[in-house]
Amino acid sequence: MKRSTYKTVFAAVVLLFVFSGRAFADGSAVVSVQPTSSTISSGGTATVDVEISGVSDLYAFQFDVLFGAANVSATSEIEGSLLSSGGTTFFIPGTIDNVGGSVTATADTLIGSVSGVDGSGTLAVLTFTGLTPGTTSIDLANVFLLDSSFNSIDFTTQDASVTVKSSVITTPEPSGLLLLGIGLIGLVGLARRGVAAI
Amino acid sequence: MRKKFRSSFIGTLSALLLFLGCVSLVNAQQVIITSPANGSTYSPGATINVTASVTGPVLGVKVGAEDMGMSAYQFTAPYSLSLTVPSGVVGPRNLIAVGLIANETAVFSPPVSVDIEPSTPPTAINFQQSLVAFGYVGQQQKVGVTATFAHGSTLDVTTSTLISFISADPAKVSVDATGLMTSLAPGNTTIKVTWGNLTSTLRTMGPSGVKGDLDGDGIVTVQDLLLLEAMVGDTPTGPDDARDINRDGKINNLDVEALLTLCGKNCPSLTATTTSLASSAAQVQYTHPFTLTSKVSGNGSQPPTGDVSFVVDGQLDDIGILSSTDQTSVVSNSLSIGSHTISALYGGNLNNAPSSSEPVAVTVVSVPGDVNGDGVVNCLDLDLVKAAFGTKTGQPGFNPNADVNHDGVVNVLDLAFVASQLPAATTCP
Repeated sequence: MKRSTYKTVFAAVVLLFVFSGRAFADGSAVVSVQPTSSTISSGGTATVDVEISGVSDLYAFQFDVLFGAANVSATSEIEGSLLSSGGTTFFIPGTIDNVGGSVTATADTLIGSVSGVDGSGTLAVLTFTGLTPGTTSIDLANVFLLDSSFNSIDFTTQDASVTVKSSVITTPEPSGLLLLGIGLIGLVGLARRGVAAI
Repeated sequence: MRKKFRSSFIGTLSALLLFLGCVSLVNAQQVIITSPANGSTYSPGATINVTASVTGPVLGVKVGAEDMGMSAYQFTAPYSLSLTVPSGVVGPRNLIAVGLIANETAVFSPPVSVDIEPSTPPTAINFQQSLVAFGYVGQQQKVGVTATFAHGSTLDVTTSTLISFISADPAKVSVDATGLMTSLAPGNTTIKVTWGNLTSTLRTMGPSGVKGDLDGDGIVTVQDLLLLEAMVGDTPTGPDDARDINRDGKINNLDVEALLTLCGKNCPSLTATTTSLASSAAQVQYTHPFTLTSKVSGNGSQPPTGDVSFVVDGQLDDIGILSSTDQTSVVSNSLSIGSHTISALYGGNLNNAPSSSEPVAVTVVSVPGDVNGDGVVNCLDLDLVKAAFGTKTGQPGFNPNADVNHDGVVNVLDLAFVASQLPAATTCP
C-alpha cells in the first residue's frame, strides 16, 4: 500500500473519530440497564441497575421496566445513588406486576429549589428471581428525565437481557464412560501392534 | 369614707350624662316642609312657594326638586322659599328642603310630592312614535306622548298623571304607567294612551317569531348578526328571550354561531376561524394574577376583528378586543380557590366565522403545589402525589389536585413541581 493511501485512510479514521466524538458530546444522555446481559440459574437472583450517563442538571426522573414474566420475576426495587448525591430526594418505587412483566412508574425527584445532578450513576436497582430457563430482555419504557427547570432532558435507552439456566447439572452416565474407556484401550492396543509390525 | 366618695362620683357622672343627652336631643336638627301639602298641583311655569320648619340650629335652608334646580339659601327664619317650575316639566316631582348645619354638612326634609300638570286640557294627544318594533322577547322600550293645546303649543306629557296607557294584548306587550313597554311574546298589537276623551294609538310590531330575527323584520340577516354580537354577555330577560337562541340561559358566542346557521345565505360567506386559548399558568396562587391569551386565526383575506369572550365555568368572565396580531389577553386574579374550566369564544365578524377554543383548566390554590389545600406545601402533598402516581383521568386513584399541571396524568412533572416547592434539604419518609 502506498504512503498516500495510508495518509488517506488515517485522515478518514481521524475524521470519523472526531465527528463521532462530537456527536457523542452533543448527544443525549443514555439510560441503560446494566449489566447488558447476565445469567442466573432458575431460582437464583439477579440484580440489575438502571443507570444514566452523560446527563446534566437531572432533577427528577421516571421510567418503566418491562421483562418476560415467564423467565424472571421482579422482587424489589430501591433508589440508586446518583440523584441523592444532589440533595434530599423523594423516591417512588415502581409497581411490580409479575403477571404482565413490568415494574411501572418508578420515579425520583430532588426536593427544594436546588440544581440537578450531573454526570453518570445509578438511578435505581432492581432484583429479579430466575424462573423458567430461557432468555428475556429487560427493557426500559416511558422514560422521563427532567432538569431543574422542569424541561425534558433528551436521552437514548439501552436495554439488557437476562438468561435463566436450569439449576440441574448434566453428568455423563457410567455406562458411557465404560464404553469410552474400552474404545480407548482398543485404539492404544492397535497402535502398539502396528508399531511392532514395522 | 371611700364608699361615700364612690356613690358621690357615680351620682355626678349620671347627672352629667343626662345633661349631655338632653343637650344632644335639643340640638338634633330637623327640617320639614310645612307647605305646600303632599299632592298639590301646579302648572308648568308656575311658582311653588315652600315653607320649611326647622328644629335645632341650622345655618340656612334651601329647597329644590328634580328638573327644577335648587333655590338660594335663606339664612334666617321663617324659612319661606320659592321654586319656579320650568315650562317643559310635567308630572310628579318631589320637593326636598335642605338645612345647612355646617360646611358640607346638611340635613334633608322628608319629600313632599307635587304634581305638575298643564293648566288647560289639550286638544289632542299623540304618540311620538308611529311604530315600535320589538326585536326580541323581553326587550323594553319607552313611549313618548305629546299634547297639543288650543293655542297650538305642544308639551311632552309622557310623565303626566292625567294620561293612562293600556295594551290591546297584554300577553304580547305590557305597558306600565310611565309608558315603559315590555315585549312578552311574538306578534303585533297596539298601545292606547288616554287623556279624558282624547286617545292615541301606537302600533307595535314583533318580535316576528322567526328564530334569530332580532330586529323584527321577519328574516334573519346580517343585521341580526350584528345586533346579537353587540349584546353578547347580556343576561337573558327570561326563558323566551330571543337572543338566547340555543336556550342555554346565556347570551354568548354560541348563540352567534347558532344565528349564523339560521342566517344561511342571508349572511355573507364567512371564513372559518380557529380560536386558541393559553393560560400563563395551570396552577396559580389565590389572588395572584395570571394571563389568559387567546389568538384567533382565519384563512381569509380579511383578518378576524372584534372581541373574544373569556368564559369561566360557563359564566362570562371578561371580554378582550382582538389586536392587530389577532390576539387578546386579559388578566385575572379573581377566581376562587379550586379548579376552573376556561374557554375563549370568538364572536366573528362580517368576514370571519365565530369559533371557540378548547377548554383550559386553571386551578387556583392557596399555595402552588399545595395538593391537599391546607395552605402549606409539605411531605403530605408529596404523599398525595405518590398515592396517585401513574394514574390518568378517569382511572381509579386519580386525584385531580395531584395532577398539578392538568395534563390528565399524575407523573414526574407533578411530582417534581411539588417537590421543588418544599424547602431544600427537606426529608420526606
